Amino acid sequence: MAVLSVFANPHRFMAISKPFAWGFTLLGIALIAWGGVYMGLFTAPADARQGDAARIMYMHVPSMWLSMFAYAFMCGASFTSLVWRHALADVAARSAAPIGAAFTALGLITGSIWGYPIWGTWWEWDGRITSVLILFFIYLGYMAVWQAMETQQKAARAAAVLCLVGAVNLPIIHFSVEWWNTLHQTATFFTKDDNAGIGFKLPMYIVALGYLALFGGLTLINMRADILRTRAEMLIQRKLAAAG
Amino acid sequence: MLNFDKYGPYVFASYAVAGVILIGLIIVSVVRLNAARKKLQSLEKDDAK
Repeated sequence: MAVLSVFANPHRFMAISKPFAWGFTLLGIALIAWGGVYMGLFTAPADARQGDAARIMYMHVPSMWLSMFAYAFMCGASFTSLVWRHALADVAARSAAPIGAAFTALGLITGSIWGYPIWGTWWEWDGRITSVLILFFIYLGYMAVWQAMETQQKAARAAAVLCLVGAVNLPIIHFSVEWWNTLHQTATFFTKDDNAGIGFKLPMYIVALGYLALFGGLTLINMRADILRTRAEMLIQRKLAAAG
Repeated sequence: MLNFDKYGPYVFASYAVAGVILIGLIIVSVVRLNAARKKLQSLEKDDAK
């Protein structure tokens, strides 16, 4: 809680967050370029079964990890907002939502492109793909709630509740490949049956770190923009009050 | 070099989509931050007059 309290003050947050926002963003771009573009396209070997189509996983798999991580982050921020009324928790959750939605869309699109040459279909209504599509709609719904409510306080509470209810989808996504028959392969990485070589793993882990850094940097940038907009709104309200 | 045989179009399409989405995300975030900063600065300037 002590760490959370440090960031409860927007002025202090603005002072501390600037170098981290740009630092994480630049680090993310560098890691994605190194792991995804250089290693993924030039140095990583082709897969024995899928050939070069497997290179799509360097964009697809980390984006799916990040889409779930971003949602879990939003759940943590929403819980913090509801329980402790932390001043910046709502800002953090709202700032992360479009980034999480973008990574989910990236995962769905690259998965579809990967699916066609390997499965022979662009789309399959199976457990994994459908539950990820639902995650994407939850992201959109969460962002729509912020726009739909009369006041920021009402929107914050409704969005936080929606976010926490939507968390039930995360284990469904994770276990969907075990619960239902599906075209999608079961989990490969971080399992006891993980026998992928380091040549495949290293680019993926580097891209995953890059996506994570980019998520952190862009969330901080969005939070800074949100705080500046709020300050501007308060200034406008103060001027209107003084004039009238 | 970069000859992915019949899978080439799919690999390049995936990377192109990733590039568009990630670069777009960065541009939108930075543009919104700069717009918010400029708006606040102009309001503060008016306030100081």
